[in-house]
Amino acid sequence: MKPFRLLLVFFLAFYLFSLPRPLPLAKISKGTPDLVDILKGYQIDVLQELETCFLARANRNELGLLRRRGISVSVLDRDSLGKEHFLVRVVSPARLNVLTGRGHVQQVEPDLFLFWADSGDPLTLLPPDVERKPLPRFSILPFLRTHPHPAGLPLGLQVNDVIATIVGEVSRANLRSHVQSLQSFQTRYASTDNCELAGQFILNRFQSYGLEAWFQPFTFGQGISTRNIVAEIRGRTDPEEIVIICAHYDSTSSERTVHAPGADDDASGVAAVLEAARILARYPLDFTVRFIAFSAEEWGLYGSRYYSNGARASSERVVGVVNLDMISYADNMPEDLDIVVNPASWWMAERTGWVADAYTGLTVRKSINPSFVYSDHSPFWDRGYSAFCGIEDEDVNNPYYHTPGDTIDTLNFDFFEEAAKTALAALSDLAQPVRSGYPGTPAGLMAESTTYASAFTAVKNVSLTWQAGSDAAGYNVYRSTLPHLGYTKLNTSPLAAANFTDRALKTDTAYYYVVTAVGSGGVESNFSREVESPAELPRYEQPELGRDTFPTIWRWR
Amino acid sequence: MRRTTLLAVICFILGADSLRGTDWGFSAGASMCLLRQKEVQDVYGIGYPIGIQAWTGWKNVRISAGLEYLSESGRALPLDGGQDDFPLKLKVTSIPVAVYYQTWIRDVFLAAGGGVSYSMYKEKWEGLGMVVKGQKWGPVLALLGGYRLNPSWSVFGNVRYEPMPTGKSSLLVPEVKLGGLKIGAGVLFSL
Repeated sequence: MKPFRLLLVFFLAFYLFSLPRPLPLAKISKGTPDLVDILKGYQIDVLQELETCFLARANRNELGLLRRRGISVSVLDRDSLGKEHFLVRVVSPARLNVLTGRGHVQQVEPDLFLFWADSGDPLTLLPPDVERKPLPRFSILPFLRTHPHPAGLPLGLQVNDVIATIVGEVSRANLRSHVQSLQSFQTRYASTDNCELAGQFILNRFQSYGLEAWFQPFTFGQGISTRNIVAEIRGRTDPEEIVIICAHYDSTSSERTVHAPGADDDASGVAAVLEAARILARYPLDFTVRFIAFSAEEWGLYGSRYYSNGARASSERVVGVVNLDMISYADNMPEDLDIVVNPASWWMAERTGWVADAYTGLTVRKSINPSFVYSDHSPFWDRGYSAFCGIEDEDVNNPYYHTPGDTIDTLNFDFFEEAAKTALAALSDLAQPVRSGYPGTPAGLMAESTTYASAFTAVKNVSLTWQAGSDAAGYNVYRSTLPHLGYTKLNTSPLAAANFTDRALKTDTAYYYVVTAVGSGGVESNFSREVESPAELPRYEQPELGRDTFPTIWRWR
Repeated sequence: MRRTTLLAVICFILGADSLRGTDWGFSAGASMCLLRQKEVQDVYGIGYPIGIQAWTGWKNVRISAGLEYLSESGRALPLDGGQDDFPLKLKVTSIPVAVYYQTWIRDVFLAAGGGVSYSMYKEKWEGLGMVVKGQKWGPVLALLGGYRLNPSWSVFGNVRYEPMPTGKSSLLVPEVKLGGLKIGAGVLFSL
């Protein structure tokens, strides 16, 4: 019997040992200096950045290491594997009680909760009018940035007369017509036939402007089918650089399958996208512009999630995303437009603020708030793309929000028109209309870094090359340590050749470059596409997790 | 910090001498620094430090404290095949303090010992004006052999392992170590 018993014990032990270990989902509080560097050093699987914390999947060993460094860590779900977690915004105790009865609920921030269910489809368990975002299933760690946000930074931008003309073409009548048409579908709740009909209407409108447009079909939840609608104006200078303007065309309400007019949320955003497409269709642009109407936003941002996953998988170079969600209701006048960004997209808020001052009469309120995740910009953040959400109020004040009362007669078209102009100006600023009488924008800018190391430090040379233009008498090279703004000219007189080497730079700093062509009369072209020379990471193997040698690795910075 | 260190060394020597110091000596020598950290050796090659030391002892125990100086020129290492040229200068001053066990076979003496070394270093990118400097304690292990030419003068050779850790990391290594295995020779004058 003894060998049999031993064998039994052995197999039992083997079975127990081979069982998958629980992988907790934890909240890692911000407040520790260099927290992002620490998370990168330990390769923690960060799933979500919020205003006060990160949500991350980390094993006990990793959590222990973070705690030993004095970082506040609390476990939200002891075993997160195989579950779909949702971030939900809950403002009333009654709604919280409903959620608690249907699954697990953990508070993450004020009004922000994590919801998951052990069984059943979480999409059907969540009340339909609750704002929600499914947590990504991949780590967003590589995309976390810690740019400084200097106040009063000179942006180094110049007013472009063509953009002023473009903005002046926004038609209030067209905006009204688009909203009226979308509202007339009664409901656009994704999964209904009317939603698909609304999608067809949007596609037809894009095509009527002479744009190439197509459906992007996808499924979500338990096999629900719907479609994003995408239209494109291909760029003349660097068409692989893509600027996106988007809004969601689906809607919801307490009577979602029969009556969800969604005039403000978000026919207003779609109307602005359509109007932008109509106007820009007649202008040559340096970079490609995509106009996208997403579906299934109200279900959990599924349309934008599908699109942004595909964009990252095919390594699309998305310069920036202008997401418009509820831009037509004014609780008081003058209403301002809130521009909400995450830390990595900070530059977009700065540029949009500048653009609004330069081309429109609207005031924008810039907000860096990574906890603002309930719209289609958020999946782009997760995939490392810069994006902002333009919204009438970051804290939604529209009393008709997600109700059958969200109709066109509640909208303020004075504000709506200015908001649409601001969005179009921001889009045009990124896509860069080609100007007649100016030299062509330099195309194909590339950067290559060469590093030189001493015993202690290193420097890098950044070699820039671009395609020579036939109408260029010379070139100017600009550099910044922040993306897309704050450029400083490096050369004192225009360069004759289409190349330049920037020597002896810090290796722990990212540098951003653009080039302009200078015409014979001294006029300067638009900026070329921006290229980055990223900060160098250590070139030696990272120590294994568990050996607390971390501080040494990053001390070189 | 440097003044404190020098005072500590002097106190240490005087303190050791006051125990029952029977003899004093001074030595001067030069060495080759081999088997350095690869990244340091790639930039600076073999180092040739020079130094002076004061000795005292009691029976078979000898104590030494010294001052060693290394000045080297190098070129920044192109990591990605670059063609640019960045000249570098490295200066290291170290104060090694060690305790030896010494034995005599007629006029030949052999000693083995260990101690600590306080190193102050400064690296400069010549054209760019970038400077990195610092100081840190590190271990020293040494073997020494010599021949007494007359009651006052001896010649000696030594092998020392002195890694000279700096506590600083670089792009290439978690911690830069400037030292290595040092093989040296010199003369010793006994009072």
